[in-house]
Amino acid sequence: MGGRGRGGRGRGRGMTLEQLGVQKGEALPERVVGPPETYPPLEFRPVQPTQEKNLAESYLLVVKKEYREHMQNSQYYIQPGVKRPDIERYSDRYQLLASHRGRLTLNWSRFPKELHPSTLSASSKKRKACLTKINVKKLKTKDVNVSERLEALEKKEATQGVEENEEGEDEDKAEGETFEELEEADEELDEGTDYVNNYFDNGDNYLDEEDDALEEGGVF
Amino acid sequence: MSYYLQKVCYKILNEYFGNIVAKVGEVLFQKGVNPLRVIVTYSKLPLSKVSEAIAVLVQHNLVTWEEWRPGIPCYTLLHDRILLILRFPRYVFLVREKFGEEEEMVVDVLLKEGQATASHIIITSCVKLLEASDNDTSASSGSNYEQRHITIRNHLLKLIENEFIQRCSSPQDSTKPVPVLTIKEEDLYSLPPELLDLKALQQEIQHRRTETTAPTFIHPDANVLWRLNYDRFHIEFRDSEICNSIVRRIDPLAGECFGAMLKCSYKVSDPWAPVMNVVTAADIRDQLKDLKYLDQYLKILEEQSGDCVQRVGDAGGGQYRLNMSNAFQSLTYILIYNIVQERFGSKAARIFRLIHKNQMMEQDMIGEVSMIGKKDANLLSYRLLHDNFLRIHELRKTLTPSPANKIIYLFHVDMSSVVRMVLEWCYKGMYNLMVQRETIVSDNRRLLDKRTRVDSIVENLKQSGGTEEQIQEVEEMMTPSERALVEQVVVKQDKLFDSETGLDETIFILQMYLYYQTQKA
Repeated sequence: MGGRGRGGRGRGRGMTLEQLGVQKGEALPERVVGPPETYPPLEFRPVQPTQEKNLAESYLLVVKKEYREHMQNSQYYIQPGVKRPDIERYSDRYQLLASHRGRLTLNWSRFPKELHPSTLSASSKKRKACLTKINVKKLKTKDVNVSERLEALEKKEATQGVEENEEGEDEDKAEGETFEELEEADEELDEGTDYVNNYFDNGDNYLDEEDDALEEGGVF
Repeated sequence: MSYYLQKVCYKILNEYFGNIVAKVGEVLFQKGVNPLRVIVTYSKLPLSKVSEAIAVLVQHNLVTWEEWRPGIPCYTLLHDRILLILRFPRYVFLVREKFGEEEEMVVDVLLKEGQATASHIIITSCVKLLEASDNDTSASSGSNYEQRHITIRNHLLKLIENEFIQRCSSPQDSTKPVPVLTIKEEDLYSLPPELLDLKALQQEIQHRRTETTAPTFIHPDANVLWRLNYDRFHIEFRDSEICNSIVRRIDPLAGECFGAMLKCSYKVSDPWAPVMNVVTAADIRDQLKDLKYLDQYLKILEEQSGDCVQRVGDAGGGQYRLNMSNAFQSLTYILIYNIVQERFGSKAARIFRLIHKNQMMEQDMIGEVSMIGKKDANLLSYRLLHDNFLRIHELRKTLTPSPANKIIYLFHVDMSSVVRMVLEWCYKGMYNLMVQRETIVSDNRRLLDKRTRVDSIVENLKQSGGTEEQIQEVEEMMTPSERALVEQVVVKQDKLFDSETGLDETIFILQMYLYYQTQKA
C-alpha cells in the first residue's frame, strides 16, 4: 500500500497547479529562495506572561533563586583547580584561591573505588615527590647564597677599620663571588631589561683592532 | 538523544554544578555508557576533577554505574533527571501546600544534598528552623525547642510513609571495587526506630547552635541514605492537572467529586496504570460524606470529562472507571490546538482541529467544511504541512499515468509525532531562555556587582552602628539611573525564571502524554 503511491512504474505527473487549487493566472504567494532565516519574522505577537503574579508563582521564583544560590556556593559546585600563573603578580595575594572549598565530604563507601579521592592523592603525591626534590635542592643553594651574604655583611660591620685592606680584599673577593652569584640571580630577575644586555658594538674597540688586523692577514 | 536536550542538560549542569560537571555530563550524554578513563580522554580534563564531577553526579542521583570489566565500572547518565532539577521549586511548593512548613524544610534539605542520612536531615532542618525562628522575634520561645527534633522526625516518617521519600539502595559488600547497589522491596519505605539515636540528635543540634566548631557525633544510621521519590510527586502533579481542568470545565464541586473518585481508585489500583480499576458510586458517596447532587455530577463527569470518567456498569449505584491516558490525551490535544492557534492564527487552528477530528480529509473538502475560502484554506493547509503539523497521504485509483487518473490527496494529523516535535521546541525554548538570562547578567555584571557591594557595605555599617550620614554617603555611590537600570535587569531576569517554570509545566504534560502512549503500545 505504501509503495504503490510512490515508486513503481509510471509515476503520476505529480501535483499540477490545478490540483493544488490555484486557478490559472492567479497571483501566487512569493516564492521562497534560499534557506529559511534564523529569526523568521513572527506573524502574530506571542502571548505575554500575565502581569500580576499570584502567590504561588512568586513563591516558586523565590525558592528557585534560593536553590540556585545555595548550589553555587555548596561543595558540589566543582571549580577548576588553581592555575600556577607564569609570572608572580601583586594581585595574587588578594585573590581568593579556588581551592578554599576543600575536598568533597561524601560517604565514599557507596561509590566505586576509583572515585575515592584518597587513592588519587597517593599517586599524585608520588609524582609531586620527585618534583619537590629538585625544587628543594634549588632552594637550598639559594639559601646558602643568602646566608653567606649575611655572614659577609656581619663580618664587615664587626671588623670596621681594623684590618681593612687585607680582609677588605678577601671580603671583597668573597663579596665579589657572592655578588656575582647574586648578580646571576639578579640577572634572572632582570630578564626584561635591555640595559644589561649588550646588543650592539658601540665602536670603542674599532680603532684598536685595526692595527692587528693588518698583521694577521686573512682568517680562514 | 536529541540535540537540544543535550544542550539544555549542559546549561542546567553548568548553572547548578559548574563548568567541569557540565562538560563531564556532556561527554556522558554524547558518548553514552563509558568507563572513567574514556571520559577523561574525551573531556580533556584532569582525572581528579573528572572523578569529583562523577561523584557529585552520583550523589545527586543523576548517574548510575555497573560493572563493565571486572573491577572497572562504566557510568550512565540519566538525562531525564537533569531536567527535573528545573522542577524542584514545584516539589517544594507542593509539600508546603499539602503538609506544612516543617515538612517543606525537610524536603528542601534533601533536595540540596541529593542523598542524605535521616540524622543529617533532622539535624539540619532543626537548626535552620530554629535560626529562622530566632530571626523572627515574634515566634514562641524555646519551650518546644527541646522537642523540635522529635516533631521533625515525625514529619520525616510521614513523608516516608506517603512514599515521597524513599531509601537509597546500598552496597552489599563494601570491599568490592565496584559496589553493586541493591535494596529490598520492604525496606524502601521503612524507617525503623532503632536507626535514630534521639539523644545524640538533640545533643548535636544544641552543639551546632551554640558553638562554631565542627561536631563529631556519630549516628547509628550513617549508611542508610534517603532520597526523593520523584514519581510520587509526578502522580500528585498529574492529579492536580486533571482536577484543575475539570474545575475549569465544569465546577469546583465536580473537582471534589473527581478527587474523591481518585482516592477510591488508588485503594484498588496502581497509580500509574493507564486505566484504573472499577469504583462504585457507593464508595464515592462514602468518601464524600453527603454531597448534594452527586448523581448529577457523576453524569456530567461521564459526558464532559473528555472520556476520562467512563461508566462501565450499574451495580452498586453505578460503576465508574478512570482512564488516565484519555485524560492526558484530551489535555494534550487542547494544548496543541492552542499552540497552532498562537502560531498560525485562528483559521489555521480551525482547519487543524477539523482534520484531527475527521482523521483524514480531502483537500477540497477542507475549504467547504471549515467555511473558509478555498484559497485561504489551501494556503493555510500547505503552511501547516510545511511545518509538519499535517501530513499528506496519496491515493491513486490505478497505477497507469494517464491524465484521467485522479490522485486524491488526503491530509491527516499524526499526533504523536507532532507532540514530539513540540517537545523539541520546548527544549529549544528552555535553552534559549537560559542563554538569554546569562547574557543579560553578564552584560550588566559590573552594575550588579556594584549593587551587591554597596548593599553589603550598608549592612555592615548598620550592624556596627554607623551614622545616618555615612549610610547616605555610601548609598549615593549608586546614582538613581544606575539603580533603575539594575531594577530593570532584575525584573527581566525574574521574568525569564518564571518562564522557565511555566515551560516546565508544558513539558510535564507532553511527557505524560508520551508516557501513556508508550504504555498503550
